[in-house]
Amino acid sequence: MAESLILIEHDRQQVKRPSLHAIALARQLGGEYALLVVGHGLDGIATSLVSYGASAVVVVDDSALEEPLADRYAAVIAEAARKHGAKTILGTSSTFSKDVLPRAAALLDAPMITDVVAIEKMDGSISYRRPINAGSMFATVKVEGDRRILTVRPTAFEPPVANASPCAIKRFDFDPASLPNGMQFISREERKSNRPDLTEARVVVSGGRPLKDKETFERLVGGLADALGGAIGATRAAVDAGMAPNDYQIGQTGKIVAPELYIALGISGAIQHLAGIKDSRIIVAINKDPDAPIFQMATYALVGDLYQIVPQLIESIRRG
Amino acid sequence: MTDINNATREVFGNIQPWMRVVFFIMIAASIAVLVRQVAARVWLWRKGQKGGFEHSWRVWIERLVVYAVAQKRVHRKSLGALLHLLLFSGFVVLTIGTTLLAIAYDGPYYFHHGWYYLIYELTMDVFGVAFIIGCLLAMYRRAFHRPASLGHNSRDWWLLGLLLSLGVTGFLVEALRMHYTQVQPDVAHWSIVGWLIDVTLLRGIDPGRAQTLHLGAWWLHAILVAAFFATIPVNRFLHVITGPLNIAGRPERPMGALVPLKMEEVEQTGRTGVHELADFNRQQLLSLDSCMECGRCEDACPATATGKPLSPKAVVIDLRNLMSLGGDDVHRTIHDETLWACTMCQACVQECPVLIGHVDLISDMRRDLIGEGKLSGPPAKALQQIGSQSNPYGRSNSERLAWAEGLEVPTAESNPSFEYLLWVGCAASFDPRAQKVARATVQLLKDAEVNFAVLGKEESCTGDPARRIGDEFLFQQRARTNIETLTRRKVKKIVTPCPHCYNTLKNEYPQFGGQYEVQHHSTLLAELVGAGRLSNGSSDGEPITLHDPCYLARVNGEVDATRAVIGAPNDAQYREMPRCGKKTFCCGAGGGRMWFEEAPSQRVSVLRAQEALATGARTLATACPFCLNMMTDGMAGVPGGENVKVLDIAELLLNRRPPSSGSPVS
Repeated sequence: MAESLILIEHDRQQVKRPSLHAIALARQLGGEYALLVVGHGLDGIATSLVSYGASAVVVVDDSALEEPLADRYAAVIAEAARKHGAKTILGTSSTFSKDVLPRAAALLDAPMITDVVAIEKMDGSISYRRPINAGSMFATVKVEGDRRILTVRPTAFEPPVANASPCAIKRFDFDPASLPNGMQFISREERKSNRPDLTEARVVVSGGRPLKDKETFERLVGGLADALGGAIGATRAAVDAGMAPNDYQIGQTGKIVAPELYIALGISGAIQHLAGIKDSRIIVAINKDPDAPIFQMATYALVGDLYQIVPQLIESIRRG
Repeated sequence: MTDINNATREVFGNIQPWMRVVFFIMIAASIAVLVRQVAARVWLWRKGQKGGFEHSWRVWIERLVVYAVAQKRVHRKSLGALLHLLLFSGFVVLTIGTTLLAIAYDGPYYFHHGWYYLIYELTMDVFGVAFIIGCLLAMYRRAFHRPASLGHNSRDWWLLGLLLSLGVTGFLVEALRMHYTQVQPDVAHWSIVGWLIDVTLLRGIDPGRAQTLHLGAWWLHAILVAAFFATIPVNRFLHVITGPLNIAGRPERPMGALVPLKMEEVEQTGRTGVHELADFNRQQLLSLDSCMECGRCEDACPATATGKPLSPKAVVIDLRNLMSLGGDDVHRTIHDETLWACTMCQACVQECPVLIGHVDLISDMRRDLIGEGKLSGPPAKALQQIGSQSNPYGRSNSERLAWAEGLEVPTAESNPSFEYLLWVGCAASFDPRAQKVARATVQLLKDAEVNFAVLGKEESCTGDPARRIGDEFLFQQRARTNIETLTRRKVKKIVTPCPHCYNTLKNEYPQFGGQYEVQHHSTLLAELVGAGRLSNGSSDGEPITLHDPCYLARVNGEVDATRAVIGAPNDAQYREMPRCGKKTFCCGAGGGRMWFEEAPSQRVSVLRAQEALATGARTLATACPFCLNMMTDGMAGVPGGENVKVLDIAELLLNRRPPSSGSPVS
């Protein structure tokens, strides 16, 4: 019996470290906690988790769980929670848990609180703090019932230290035939990239609509980014036109970046895009329209055809 | 030759006294059913907060004359409007006529004879025909045009069938009476339809048989009348009662002003906006019942047009159904996405013939969502930044004058004796594209030697986006701060290139004691051109069109100045879009939508750009920094749009200036 059950995320090779931060919250809640890993071929991952002070590492390992299909994962998580009598199921605030945990909550008929950043204990009851209105306010909420599901903002809690004496690894057995079959796995697409993460990169090269297509975008924007060891960004228009994937989008409805060097290729400078780059230290803009609004924000402005300038730039950087 | 003075007709000649008693009981019973059902609705409205009907009876009368009798909002060139005119005039005249007959019959003085009678008969026949044609056209429209926004239900056919049968049996009764009483031709001709039926269909029928038939037709007609009265509350006809009530009761407020929340009340009730149906005021609940589901609001709605989950008509009907079913939580039937989809362009409000305030309904429910912390993402961030940085873009307010670099713009500090305060607005202060509009405006004001100043760092967001998104607290905080600044700087006249600032300063700040003479830059520039202080030069000969900003044209009625500034009246190459002037179509940025994510297939700006492109224009002029942003984006998203220049009227005016006068555009 564990008071709390913490869902640990992994990428098949190793644990995703932010998901360990929920352990800090489980300790604050008090009582024993177990770590739950779901997937297939988890031996290595399970072994890496034994020293975090948990009562056990619960492993749900089956070939039917090879791919993270939300209906199956939710079913086994709910069942594991029931069997262990866990009062609190914790996950981390991620797309994975957004997909899986609401379903588990529904199966358990339990309330769910997302994005928890702190708890307050008062008169034996616990309330949870979570940001609302884009973080401008905090709501302190209580839940009814004796079981609840939380997702935790990893940045709000310290990472745990692996210094406890190793705990047991328990296999959680279930009947694979009982798993739901509502979803079918078709394919997995991962962007394997050596480029740095967009929001952390010191150099970001970004492209707009004039890049025309995916290939040109990769050749010019990607080429310059690689020459400078930077990350790739894109405007909404470039993303809409299919030149770049969604998670490259920078701006009001995308990522906010603040690199030391931001290079804008063929970006006119709509305020929606500028909202995502305004804190960049140096902005270099290359655009053939001398009236492009981005020049008003740029530290260095280069008026000209990016199809001529960028290949020369790549060339000269490579030659060093 | 009959003596005209004796011309009259029998009223209940063929109806036995006991039958008359049955008739009166039946009609009284049907009216009782009507009254009872309407009373039940009134009971539902009374669950709301006190509100509406707050102005003097003069306003009520004026409104009723304009919107209920003259039906200002119904008229347009369409089949729907024509058939409504026929049905409405037919119904009104027949109702008045029947009432007059009852007065003549039961009253102390029998006036139903002579010339009065003849004209009465002719009038009743003409409008009876109008009524029948109206019914037939309505059926034709339902069967063949089938406009989707109208909605189609079997009950509509029952209603039309009932109305048509009323008209037809009425004429049959007349013709049969004329046949068996053998009216003289010179009198009969006045009852033109009855006479025509008499001499064609009834030709050769024995008078005695006609009298029997008359009795049957008369009863059929009477039963239909009773059925009509009793079923009014359950069909579209209810608007005949509720429409005028709502028209009279709607509060008098400029279209661009939302209702202020009183903070003392909020402290007492703990309620911001509408969470439960009873949080609406009584007039708002009544307005739900005044909708006859014509669908004009839906036809005008940019959210509906782009496939978003909002139809103003559906909002009204869903709330009405909630009220009928005794529900309370409005969010059970109106989803958050529906409320957020609204651009608050007011097109629905402008269209509604019975003056329903859709935008007020939506604004009230949005306020509740904000109070519950239901907004997240970029729009929530914009609100947060209006609070922390005084502008929605999150830029430091100390950069507010960055746009003016090198222009030597006078500030309220450096030029305290200014005549006009140039209210720049956040967009023209921080959006690099719109900054050019601020620069152009300043250059034009300088050329015309206007004595003006800007507030610089003392300026902050008017709070328009906050109020329209639903954050009334933030809005009022901004409004109070700004009014304080404007008072301290002794501001009398304000001119601004942003229609949203213009609207809020002009229509909403008076709610908090801020009274100014507010002008949009279009009107001031037009005045300066008119007075010869600015030249509007000559166009480049390329086709040009104008996108009217909603908050300038529709909401504040200003459509001429923009056109005057760009010389449209004398420009052979000037083209209007199909939706122009006060009937303009939103760019998609209003109501805080500027900060919402919009799927590519759902962008209003693209729809509008296509409309502008179809005029063949190579320049799209507008007069709002948000429209400028959205239309630039929209044009970039449609094939051929890259060849269209999107410019503010101030930029156009500056570009067209004769080369001798002043510095070039920078």
